[in-house]
Amino acid sequence: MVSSTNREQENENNYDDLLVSIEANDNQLNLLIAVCDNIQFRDEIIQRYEQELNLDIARYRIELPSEQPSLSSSINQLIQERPELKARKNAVITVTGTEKFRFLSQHGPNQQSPQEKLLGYFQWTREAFKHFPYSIVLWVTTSLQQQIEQKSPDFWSWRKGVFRFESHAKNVVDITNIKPHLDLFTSEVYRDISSLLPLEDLQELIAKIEQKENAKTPQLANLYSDLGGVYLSRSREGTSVDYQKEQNLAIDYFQKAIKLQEELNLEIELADSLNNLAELYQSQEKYQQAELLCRQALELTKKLLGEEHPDVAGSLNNLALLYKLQKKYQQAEDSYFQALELTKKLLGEEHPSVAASLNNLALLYKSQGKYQRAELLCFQALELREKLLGKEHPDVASSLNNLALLYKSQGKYQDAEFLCLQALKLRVKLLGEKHLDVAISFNNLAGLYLSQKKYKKTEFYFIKALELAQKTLGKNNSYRKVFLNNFKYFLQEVINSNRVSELSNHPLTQSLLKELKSS
Amino acid sequence: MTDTLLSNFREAYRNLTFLPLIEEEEINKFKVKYGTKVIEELQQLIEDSYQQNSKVILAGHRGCGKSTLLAELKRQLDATYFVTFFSISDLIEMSDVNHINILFAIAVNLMEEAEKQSIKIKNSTKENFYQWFAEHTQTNIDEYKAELETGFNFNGLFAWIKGVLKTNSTIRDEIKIKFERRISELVNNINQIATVISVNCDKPILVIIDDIDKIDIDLAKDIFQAHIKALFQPNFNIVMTIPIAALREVSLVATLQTETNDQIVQMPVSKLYQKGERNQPNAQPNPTVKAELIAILNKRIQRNLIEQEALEKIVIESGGVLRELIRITNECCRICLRLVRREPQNQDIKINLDILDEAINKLSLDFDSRIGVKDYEILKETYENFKPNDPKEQQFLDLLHGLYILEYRNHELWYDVHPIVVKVLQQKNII
Repeated sequence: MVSSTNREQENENNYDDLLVSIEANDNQLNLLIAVCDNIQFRDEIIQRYEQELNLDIARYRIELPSEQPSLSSSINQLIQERPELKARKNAVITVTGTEKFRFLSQHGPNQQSPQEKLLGYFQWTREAFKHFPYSIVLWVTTSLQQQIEQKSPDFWSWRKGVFRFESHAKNVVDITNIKPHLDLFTSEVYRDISSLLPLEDLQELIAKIEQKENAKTPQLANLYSDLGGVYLSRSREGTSVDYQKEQNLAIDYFQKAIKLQEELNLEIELADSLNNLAELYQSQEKYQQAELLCRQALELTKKLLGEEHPDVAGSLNNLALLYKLQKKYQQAEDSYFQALELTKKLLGEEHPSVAASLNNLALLYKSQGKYQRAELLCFQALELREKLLGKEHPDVASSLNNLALLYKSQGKYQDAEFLCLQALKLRVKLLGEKHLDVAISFNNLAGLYLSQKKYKKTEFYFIKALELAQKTLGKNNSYRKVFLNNFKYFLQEVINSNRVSELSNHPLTQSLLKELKSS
Repeated sequence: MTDTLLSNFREAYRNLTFLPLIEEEEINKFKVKYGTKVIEELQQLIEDSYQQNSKVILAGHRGCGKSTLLAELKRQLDATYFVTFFSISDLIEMSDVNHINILFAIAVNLMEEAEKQSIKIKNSTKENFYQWFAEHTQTNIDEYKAELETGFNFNGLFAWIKGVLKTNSTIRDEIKIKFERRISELVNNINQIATVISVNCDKPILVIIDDIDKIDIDLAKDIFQAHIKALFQPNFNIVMTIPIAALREVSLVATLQTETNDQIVQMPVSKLYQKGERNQPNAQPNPTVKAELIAILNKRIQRNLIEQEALEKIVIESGGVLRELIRITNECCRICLRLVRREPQNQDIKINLDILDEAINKLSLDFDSRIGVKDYEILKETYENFKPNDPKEQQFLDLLHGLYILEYRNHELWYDVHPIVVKVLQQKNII
């Protein structure tokens, strides 16, 4: 697994590379392209290098104006305003503001979008090199960087370096994002698990067959996997009586099933069991084991059903998710794309599964910090769902929820809040007030207010999420744990910033505060 | 000591720029003999032109050294020709290049060069020329008129006109509207200007236009397909660049071949390996080419800053493309600068294979970020068969345009995948 320390190290390397590149320059155009999708993080980096750079290098900043996003005329303007630049030997000009340009035109598809306009202005010529003998650090988002490469290839080819900074997602963002992962399990990835027999009856039946002499039958294999499935679906839904114990039981039963299915050469069933066991390992964060199983399942599915079959797409989705969790993003992207293409081919461009696939990809980009791309795909998924399923559908609410989280990650809090509330409203209307998804909406809203340091609202919604989770799902379900963790994380931040006085007297808040302070 | 290491790497970083060698100072510092064959070929086509009105097209990959080479061509022919060499991008907004403003730009540059070389032109002629330029660029000529003993002095006039052409789209539009249906009038005026200069300096005229290859491919098609005749109408020698991808357009090539009398010169990427050779065990790169590329680097980075092994590997990783060669070395320098910063006491920092490896990995991100599934297929085909299934496919042309795929030629045309992209493909188990 690629650890976050690894990412930090990469960022640190890129930071130093940027620094030495600026310092090495002397009276030449030194075009440096810095890529970062998180504005806050970007600003931290800018501040840092402006502090740490050699003192003889003058620092300037430009924010591109949205009316006329011409880089060269902005720099010219700066030179006019700061005549000392003309005589300066060493200067660095930091350029921001490119992230404001949307890649979608608001005036219809045939209009030039602001971003296209921006790209058009990048048509630099050799002249520019004489006129701007400075280090220019142009800050762009990942998606814009790709656009530059495609649409302004010559400008791109003048670059003296590219520096990629991966933003550190905060814990709380990761945790609140747990729902979309699960969403994916139930809708796209794993086949529904259903058992006509209740748990006790299944156990009884298995015990009976196991006592027989020739117990190793396909029936027993199926029962094992059925029983494993019951435990699995209880853990999916958060209805396990004892989460940990039931997870282990599920694993045991699937392992038994697999062993028998292999012996008896029951390949189709085997593929299912492998997938289910993979899901269980995944939820225990045993990603390598899960990946191995998942790949076996995929190969088997292909062999049995051919390369072009919806189940192949499903397996690819499973595998992609595992790659993503292991931060093997390229492999994840490839698999998701294959799944998407296959789904389109088999089911047509307009199909709920296509929307789900788009959603998966969006979430992948999101976890890579490629927010703009993620946003575009999420938006496409939303549109498709609205078109196919109507505006009032739980999947539409999920899309709204995801989009809201994306906006939040980019600091667009108002938009995020609007969508989050809309998703909540829809969920209450469609699913009732006592539904897990509603609790998740509360949790997400809390996270949203937390990012804005609106502590009162944060507290309010976390408590609502927790209360609802307890009411509907019992004390031990996994979501409740997540919410509780989030709440603690939040309270710690409040303590650290000395704003405890803003919190309410709610017993839950107070008891947790006590616990945190004593530790 | 470390300071020396630091300043040496900084100097190398600065030397490793992507600019073509055009200014005297850079040429003296960095010049290396290369592309001799191409220069000879161009020279021969121009010199062999019976009427001294050859039209020659130079096509080659972005960053393979066309501009430097054309500047060199100018220097070699300066003694026997009146040569003006300019980049179209320095005169006209790239998105607005068309056959008319290319012609107008030729006229402006001819006059400017004549001024620079102080070619004596009769006052009355000169004034008429200037009047013509002024009229079409809405310039008040009186501001520039300063009568000196030797005649009119129009200092600054052409700088002004160039500025107008570059920034004022209204005037460009007006020029276009004015001459669109009167191309022969425009060409006739240009011919007159050229003839006057030629006669007065007693040399044939050669106009070298650079960077036409940087315009958008569709625009290039339009210019070269629909308006090639107008563009080639002037009765003097013209050399211009065109995008390499445009040459894969069969109908366009046919037109160009007819109109240039088959005078299309391809500037090949330096061929380190023969076709198919790179897959053989112990394949050795062509020693001449290798030496040429190493020589380029030796001019820009001190030998003690780089290990021989690494130097040789950089050459191979560049695929023979000059700008890539510089880019890889530049990235290595940056890593070394970082190490110097972190370990100021370490005297042994040098570009070695590990550092090169890190640099390549970093650069591969630039390539990796935008290739999609379909691109992988084309890259795979090209890697395996040295040609794509469909060389006319737009996606292939885009890959060619973006240096993902490189075109090589000797007696036959073949393609290969950029060595850094090969690495990306290997990492993904595509090949």
